[in-house]
Amino acid sequence: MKNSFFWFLIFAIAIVAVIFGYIIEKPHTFRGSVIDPAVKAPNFNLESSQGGEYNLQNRTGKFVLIFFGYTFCPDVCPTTLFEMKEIKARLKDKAEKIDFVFITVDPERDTQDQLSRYLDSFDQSFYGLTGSVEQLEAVWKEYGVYREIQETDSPIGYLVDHTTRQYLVNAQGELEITYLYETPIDDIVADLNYLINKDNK
Amino acid sequence: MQTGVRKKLVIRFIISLAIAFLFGFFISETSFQILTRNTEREVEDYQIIIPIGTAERIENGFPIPSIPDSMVFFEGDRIIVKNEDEISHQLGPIWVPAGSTGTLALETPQTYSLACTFQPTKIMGLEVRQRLTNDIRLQGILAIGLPSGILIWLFSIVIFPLDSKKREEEGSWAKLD
Repeated sequence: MKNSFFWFLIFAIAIVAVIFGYIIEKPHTFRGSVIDPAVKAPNFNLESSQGGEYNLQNRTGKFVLIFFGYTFCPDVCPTTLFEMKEIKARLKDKAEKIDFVFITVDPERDTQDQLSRYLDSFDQSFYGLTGSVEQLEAVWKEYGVYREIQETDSPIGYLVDHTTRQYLVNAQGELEITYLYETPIDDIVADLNYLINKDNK
Repeated sequence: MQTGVRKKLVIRFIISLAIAFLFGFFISETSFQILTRNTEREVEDYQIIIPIGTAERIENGFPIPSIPDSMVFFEGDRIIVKNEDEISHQLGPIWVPAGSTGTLALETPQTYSLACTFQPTKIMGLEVRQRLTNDIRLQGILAIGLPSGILIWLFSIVIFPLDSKKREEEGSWAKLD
């Protein structure tokens, strides 16, 4: 019976740990809305804030997190970009596998330079994309993006109501998950971590 | 500490845990039965099919096969939206490209008021209620049983000390010597 109490306690703790482990450790459930089976992401070729053009198809092998917004946006866009910055920070080295892409819904004001200045205040690696209204309208339509100009008396001019969803394109160039505005950062990071690990295997 | 005392402590600990877990089981199960009387059911997949031509019908003002304005789900349920139409559609958080299927696992109990492109009102309510699962039952029993067991064991040591008689005997022998 020497040390029996100690061993009994260890055994009891181990049993409890196994039970809790079973309860807590569940298969990964995606937090966003999953497109199943994933469909080929509609391609686009737009002017990039980093110079030159950004072609989605050429980025195959990388995950692409896309958000549609505009630089004069007073609320949703800066919040989302800040969240993207936070996602990148939390993913650490894995973030190298992701392109963070901001496509304008206001091409009249969002030039390459304007996008570049704006995005530099968040993260210099983020891509800001713009183009002609015709080019962008095709992209908005493909991605189901709603966009409507609201005239205001504000000194910054008109506002643009727009879709606030984020789209995740996987490394195979397929649309896999979409996230609603205000999806917790932890949820998006958990999904990205899972997908990047899966892709690395 | 003597081996006999240690053995008694272990036995008392086991008995304390058994009593506490039995107590926890009754408390947890009674609550579980009361709370799940009218709501308990298995995890369900709720499938919505958007037929081809839906967007056109909405545009032309024709009625479309509709879904209820408000729906109640339980944690773990899944909404599967199959889009057979030629354009993408949105049901709240689910955006489905044409010809694809969008799936959302409802993991967080919450009440939503959502935009919906194929609902005549363009708005629908969605309530996700917490599910009372076997895991929660087990967690309830553990949460009550484990701390209660330790408390019962500690109180039993304080109220009924194991070696008090032995000490008294040792004390009286010492006096005689």
